[in-house]
Amino acid sequence: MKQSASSTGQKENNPDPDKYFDELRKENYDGTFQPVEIWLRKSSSILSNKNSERKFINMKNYFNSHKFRLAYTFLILAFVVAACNYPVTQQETVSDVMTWSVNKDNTEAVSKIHSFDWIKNGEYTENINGEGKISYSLVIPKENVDRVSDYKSQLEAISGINDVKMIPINETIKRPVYSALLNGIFKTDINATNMSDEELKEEVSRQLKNAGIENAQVDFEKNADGKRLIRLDISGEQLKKEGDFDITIRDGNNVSRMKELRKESPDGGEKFKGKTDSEIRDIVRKDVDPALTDDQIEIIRDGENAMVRIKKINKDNKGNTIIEDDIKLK
Amino acid sequence: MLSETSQFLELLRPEYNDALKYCKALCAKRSIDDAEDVLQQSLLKSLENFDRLNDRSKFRSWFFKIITREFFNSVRKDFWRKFIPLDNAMQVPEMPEVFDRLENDNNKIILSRALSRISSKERSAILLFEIGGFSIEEIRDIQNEKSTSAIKSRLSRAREKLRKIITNEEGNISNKKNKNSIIIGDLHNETVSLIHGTEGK
Repeated sequence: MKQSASSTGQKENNPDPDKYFDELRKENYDGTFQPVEIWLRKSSSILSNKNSERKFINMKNYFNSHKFRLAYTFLILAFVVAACNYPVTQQETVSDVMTWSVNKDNTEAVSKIHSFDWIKNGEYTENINGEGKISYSLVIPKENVDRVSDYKSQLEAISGINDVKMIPINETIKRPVYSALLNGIFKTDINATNMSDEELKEEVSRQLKNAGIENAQVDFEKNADGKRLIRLDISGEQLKKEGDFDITIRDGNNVSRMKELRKESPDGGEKFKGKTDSEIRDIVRKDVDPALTDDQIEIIRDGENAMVRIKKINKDNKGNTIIEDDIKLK
Repeated sequence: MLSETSQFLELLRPEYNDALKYCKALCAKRSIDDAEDVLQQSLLKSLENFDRLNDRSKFRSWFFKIITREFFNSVRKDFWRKFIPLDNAMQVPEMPEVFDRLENDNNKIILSRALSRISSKERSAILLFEIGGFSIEEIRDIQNEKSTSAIKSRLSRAREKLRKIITNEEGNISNKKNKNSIIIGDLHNETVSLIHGTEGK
């Protein structure tokens, strides 16, 4: 609550200052408001211009007075950006390959091996060498690496299994190619998003060349939805006799996967000889996937020899559709 | 900016009269021109910074704070102007004259003299209280003080000083009125005595 200045401690014989303040309070300047208003309106337009000028001058002065500090800051920032963008080659383990071998006559061990879910669902190859041993190579993705010791102990528990080995598959960050040529596996993953046909062709050819595959024919075609399909033809001589081949190309939301498992029948190609298409399809279903339909199993005959081409529609772990998956059996 | 100006003027209108009285009395020690300068600078500064006033309900105390600050700035500038030339940054047309140059009212003259003889801070505090009608807390904020007790004692001192000065001023004026003829007689006697003194030497 406001108290009057004259209400406290005033002596009777002293004058009352409030009387004088009353005189001041009575003054009236309302009549001068209009000219002041006009003046303020005029001044406001000048002030708005002055404001922008002042901001510019302030900025200019700031840059002038801090030019060395700003220069240092800019140089440090440029150095940091350049350092962050400097291409470095770094090896990173993306998966492991587990290898082991077993005598082909040890049917009990072989059936036990094939009974493991992690082998059935995994990506593996089996080759029979001249000594009558089946060599297995199983790719263990990065997310399953912590289960490796468990897998290893399960395998070692089976009698007749020798040489269980782990071999890491590394990729370089500079060039996102990871490959494992162990046992003929060539695997690469290319991000083709925003790449032109020409650029993608160059990239695929370059990566194949790095893997020792030359003269690969890369072509493009579009499906009914207008999506880009990649056709890759590699002559048989370019690949190892029993080598595997797996290229995944991510193109926006499309994932094209070209995978070839080249298998020579242990009986020297006798497996499909004299067999009808239906019989061959049954063999394929038994060997590869019982769920395969007749349309997915294409049989290519060359005289007496037969080659099987399997087409599958899959989904990757991100839910993207893998539109082609070729497995060739010879 | 134009709509801001209109808003500013709308809020200024009810405070205008008190602001001018405060400004004039604040510059009691100085000239009317100085009071108009302080008022002009205050109006321009407040118009320029009006967009930064978020709570428009606090316009009155905000505007009086600007006047107070501009007054103290002008006092400081007066000091430095003795040594170095200072230029005015804002190149805007001169504000029209708002104050009367001639003051005939004795009470106003006495108050003006009394106010001119107390310190700037005391003058500002007592005027904010008496003319602006601000509370102790508001005056504390306007004067950028930390404690209300400082404002209370400042007001108390200012009142006491004013009372004494006004008493003296009233006495002087009544003496002047009563002794108007005697003054002439005294001058005559003083002249005669001066002449006699000179002859004696």
